[in-house]
Amino acid sequence: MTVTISKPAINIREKLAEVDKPSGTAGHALLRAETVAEQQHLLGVGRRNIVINGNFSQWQRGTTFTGVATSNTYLADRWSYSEGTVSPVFTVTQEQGPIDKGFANAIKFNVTTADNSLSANAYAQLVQKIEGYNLQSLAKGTDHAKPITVSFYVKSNKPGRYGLTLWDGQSSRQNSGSYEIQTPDTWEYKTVTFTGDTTGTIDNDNTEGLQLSFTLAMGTSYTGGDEGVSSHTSNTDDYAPFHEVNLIESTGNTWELAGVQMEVGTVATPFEHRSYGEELALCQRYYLRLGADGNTTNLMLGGVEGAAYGAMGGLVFPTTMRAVPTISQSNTYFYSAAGGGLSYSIGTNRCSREVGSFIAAGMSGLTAGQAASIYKINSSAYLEFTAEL
Amino acid sequence: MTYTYVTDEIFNSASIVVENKSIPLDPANSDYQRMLDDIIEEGADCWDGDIPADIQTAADTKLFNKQCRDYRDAKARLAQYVLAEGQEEVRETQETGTQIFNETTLEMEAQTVEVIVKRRIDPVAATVTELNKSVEPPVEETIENPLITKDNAERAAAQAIIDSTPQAVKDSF
Repeated sequence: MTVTISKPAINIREKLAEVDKPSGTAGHALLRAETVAEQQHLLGVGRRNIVINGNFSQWQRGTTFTGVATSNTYLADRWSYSEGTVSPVFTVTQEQGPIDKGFANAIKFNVTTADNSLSANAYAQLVQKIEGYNLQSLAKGTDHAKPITVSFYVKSNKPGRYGLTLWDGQSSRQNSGSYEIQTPDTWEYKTVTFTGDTTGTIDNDNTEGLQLSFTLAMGTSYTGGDEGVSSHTSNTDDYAPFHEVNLIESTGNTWELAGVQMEVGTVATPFEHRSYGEELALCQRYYLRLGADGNTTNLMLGGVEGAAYGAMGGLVFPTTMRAVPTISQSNTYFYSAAGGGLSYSIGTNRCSREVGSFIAAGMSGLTAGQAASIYKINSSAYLEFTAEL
Repeated sequence: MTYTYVTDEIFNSASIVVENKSIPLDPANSDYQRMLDDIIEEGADCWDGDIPADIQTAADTKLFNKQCRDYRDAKARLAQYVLAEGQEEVRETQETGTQIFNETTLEMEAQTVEVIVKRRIDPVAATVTELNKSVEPPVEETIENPLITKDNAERAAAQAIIDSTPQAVKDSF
């Protein structure tokens, strides 16, 4: 008996095509990745942002700085102003960032005194100095040096091309890039990728490895060369070769920055939002201010009196500091059982990287063996420990 | 800015005090490094009293290291070819690392190959023509090529660094 079975025709080409499951370009890249490490890189998982306080959430020193006119003036945590052969004055403030992009805070430079005759060797820039320990993933100075991508939001009333530079002070080398602000007073997202530098390793220690510098003004000595990697001494003009805007040429000019991320690779991944507390702890490795909360809490530090001094200490730092810190204070007093509140000066620095202590000096008439304390006399008083790079 | 060396008998310790700041004797501290820079620049003028010997030694070492870096960079700059002169091609015979049999001498010999170690580079044009717009009507002017001007200035700066480098620094190379 013959049985006839009928079934629908099969198009073998279509069936084979279905085996190749549809996926986007990124999906293909992920499937093609040959190692887990490569997949992780494509997904952008793990800790990526080398910059600390890139979202400008931490301002232990205050949120308004007037009369900013000298190098090494620290502003938002980890960010400092650097200048040479110029004489502008800025007011720097914490402002709202591009909140629709997820950035509540930004840093704003406002020129209050202009310098409209820029000399050849002039420079003014916002800098973050980065510790060598945090830069080893760049493999700088090896044949496998990794590219670096910096992404950020920027806004200014002065459109034009601005310089962005990685400066390696250990090897006197620079890696320069640039970006262009196209529309005045509008937040714009920028990415700049730097090629890996196969020369000049970065010491794996707690000293400065790289400086990330945003140029505000730059004289012609530094702007005539080529973008990319070069050594400093022979090619000084490669520092910010395409920087063309003189932000400081007139008062009222402004420049704002938010959401700075510096990461390994050629792709700018979404900003890595860390928790507020985590970002604060990262900053406190370099700077700790007691009293930054603005409260008038009296007691800051305990200790014991000698006849003419107080041995103050016992403060365990919230995180191990980068180096033994410098100590300074403002509007704090020494409380003595015999003499009450006394002004004092900070004598010998007895800090380690883990514990804060010092000798309070410049007093007399104290009672040896009595308990004593350092306290605030107003809400702006503070005691600070600085271990910046 | 005047630095003061302070000690205390309680812990038998020392620090440096300046402008209400107490700086630890920690080379990793940036204020300590700035203090060394000030000593290098101003000498004892920035100190209240004599500079302690160990701090003076640290400042001298930092200056020596900086002069070494500057001297090395300046030498490297002068080693680059002069733009106005260009560069002659330089060839060199190098061993490839392979041994070959020489049928004449009947011995194994190192294989060699001639390689270009410096490629020929033509000198840049000595002069360029530029439109001078500061006069009316604008006129064309022939000036020295700015690339040569810049090259000469950088070479002069490098030579000046070498000339001013102490002999002890030069001897360390």
